[in-house]
Amino acid sequence: MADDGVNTKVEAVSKATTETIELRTEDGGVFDVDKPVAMEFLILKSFYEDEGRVFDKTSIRLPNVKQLELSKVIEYCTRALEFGAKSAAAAGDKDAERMVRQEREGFEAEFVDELSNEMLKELILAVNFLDIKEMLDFLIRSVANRIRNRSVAYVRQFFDIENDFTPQEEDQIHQENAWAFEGVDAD
Amino acid sequence: MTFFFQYLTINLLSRKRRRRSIPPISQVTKKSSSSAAAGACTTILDLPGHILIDILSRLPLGSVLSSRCVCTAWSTLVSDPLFTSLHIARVQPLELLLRANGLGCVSTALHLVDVDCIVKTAPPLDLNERQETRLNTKMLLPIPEYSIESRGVDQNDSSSSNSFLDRDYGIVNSCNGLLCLSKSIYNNPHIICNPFTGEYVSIPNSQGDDRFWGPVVPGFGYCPRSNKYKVVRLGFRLENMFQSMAEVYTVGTASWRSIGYAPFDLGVSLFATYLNGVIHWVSDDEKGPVFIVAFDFEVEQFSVVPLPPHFGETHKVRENLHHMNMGVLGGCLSACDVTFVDHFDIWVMKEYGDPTSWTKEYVIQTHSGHLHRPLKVLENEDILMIWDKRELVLYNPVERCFRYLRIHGVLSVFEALIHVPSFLPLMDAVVGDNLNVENIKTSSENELLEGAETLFLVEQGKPRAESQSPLLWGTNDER
Repeated sequence: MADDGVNTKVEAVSKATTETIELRTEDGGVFDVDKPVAMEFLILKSFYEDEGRVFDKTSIRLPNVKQLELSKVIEYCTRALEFGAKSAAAAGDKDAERMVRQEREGFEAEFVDELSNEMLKELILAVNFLDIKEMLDFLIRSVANRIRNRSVAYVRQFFDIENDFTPQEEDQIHQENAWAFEGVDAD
Repeated sequence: MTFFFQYLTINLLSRKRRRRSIPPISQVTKKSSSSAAAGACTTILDLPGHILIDILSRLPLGSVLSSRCVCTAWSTLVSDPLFTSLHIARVQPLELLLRANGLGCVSTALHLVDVDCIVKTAPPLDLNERQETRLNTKMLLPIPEYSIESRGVDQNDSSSSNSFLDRDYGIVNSCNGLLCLSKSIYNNPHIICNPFTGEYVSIPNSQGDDRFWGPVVPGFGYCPRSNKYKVVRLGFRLENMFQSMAEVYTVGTASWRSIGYAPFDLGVSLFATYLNGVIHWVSDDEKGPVFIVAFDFEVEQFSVVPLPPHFGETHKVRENLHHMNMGVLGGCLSACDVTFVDHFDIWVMKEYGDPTSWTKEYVIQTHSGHLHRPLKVLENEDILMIWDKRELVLYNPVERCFRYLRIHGVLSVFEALIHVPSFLPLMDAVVGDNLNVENIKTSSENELLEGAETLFLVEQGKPRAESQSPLLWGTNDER
């Protein structure tokens, strides 16, 4: 019982200031991340919840994440939380909701525009490791957009896949749905 | 919905592991994967298979099909029926098909409209600017005339390379990716087909089939509980010209069954609309009251669906009462009240079967209300419609403006159909012992298609505000 009292007191203090946690990447990057953002990384969240410990400033090493990716992840998650809050505030007001939605779409479009195909792939790997649901969904959508309506050669190159069809087999598939191969965007 | 996807993806993954053990990607793509740090992913190839499935299931239909060509593993993945159902649930590729259908001359080519692409293309900026979109994707109606056996028999060679036939087929309605076709004169349902796979089955003509007096009212649908496809028809048999009879054919069985008298006299089938196991028609007796007749395929019974209160009562143009352009919008039954002079209302039945749930969703100001047939509400909340059977319309309810895209073809009158593409083979989709599936897809289908015309969508001028009446298309821009 007494313990609980101590715990809640500590938590109350941490709410007052923005608690941060230090994350270290495999290539030497060090980031101070706000608690709400860090808790979006389910791999971290489960670590804290399993241990049942009070959130305190410790340093965590992320072995599979590089600093460039982590900085992008932090950027996205921070903005995502902001949009979430704005959305909640605008609930009920259709016009306000639409504005928030458009703002978010604008941010996401810009964010993904700056990413090269390589970077996009690296981010998916990082986000998959960190287990961030919303961002993973966003990245998957972005990859789908990148490869939609593209030639087969482009898709193979994007995923680094070797063609293991014989020319006859490929021809057959082409014939079965010829229309699907027309009108693709130029590489 | 999210739970459903996760359930399906996990299922797909575990099923595949049991059956064919394909994922993760690195094992199948024959590229050596780099370091295998425990549990860590170093390249995209080491990602769990469910992420790949997630990506592919978000692609539009054409991309999904072309991804079959990427490598053998992807081909297997994409052809799996479980993937198909996940894909359809996700992308909801309700496609728009157009078919030239003028008086006495009906085309057998279906043209696919990429509505998404049109919505994303900005409209012209001023009145004199004109924008054209070519409809590249065509497919032929799978009918016996195009199957390889009968083609040799057909003496009239020119008709086989043309997409207009003397004996026309009408489209009854679409259901779960299948179309029901009828032979025009009596409107007797003849064929169930899938235009995307090219497969069809013929509906057996039982004895006395052509002995109908006048046209028949057909309907096609699916019973989810018993997993059967059925066709219903109402008509006057020559033996009894005063009482309409109803008959049902379960696809995959040998013959039609009579289910007694049809409790309603529907002269012509108007706006046949399939929704959740029930087919609906609008009564067309212009002197009588208007109502919606429903036939439930599962219990094989008729009923009346009540219309919204005061529907069509303030009718200035009473003869338009039955032109209510019934359809399905947002998964609900919809009907338009087009009896007003300067506007029309779109009603939607939010809770099926509950007449109090009819909601007047849209009130659109225009003088030609009855010519606007709503087809679908798009993701960006625009309404896709067809106007006067010749133009596609995108109506923006927020900005209150219309984009009109004229359909250019040899004929100038078209029918539009919202259809869910499916690649499930008919053998898998339909259960039954009496199923004789034919297919028109051979290498020479492409030759036949070359003879089919190409349609264009032409948009002239910037979007028009609701208060302005649509420009009447003159003859100066005929092709």
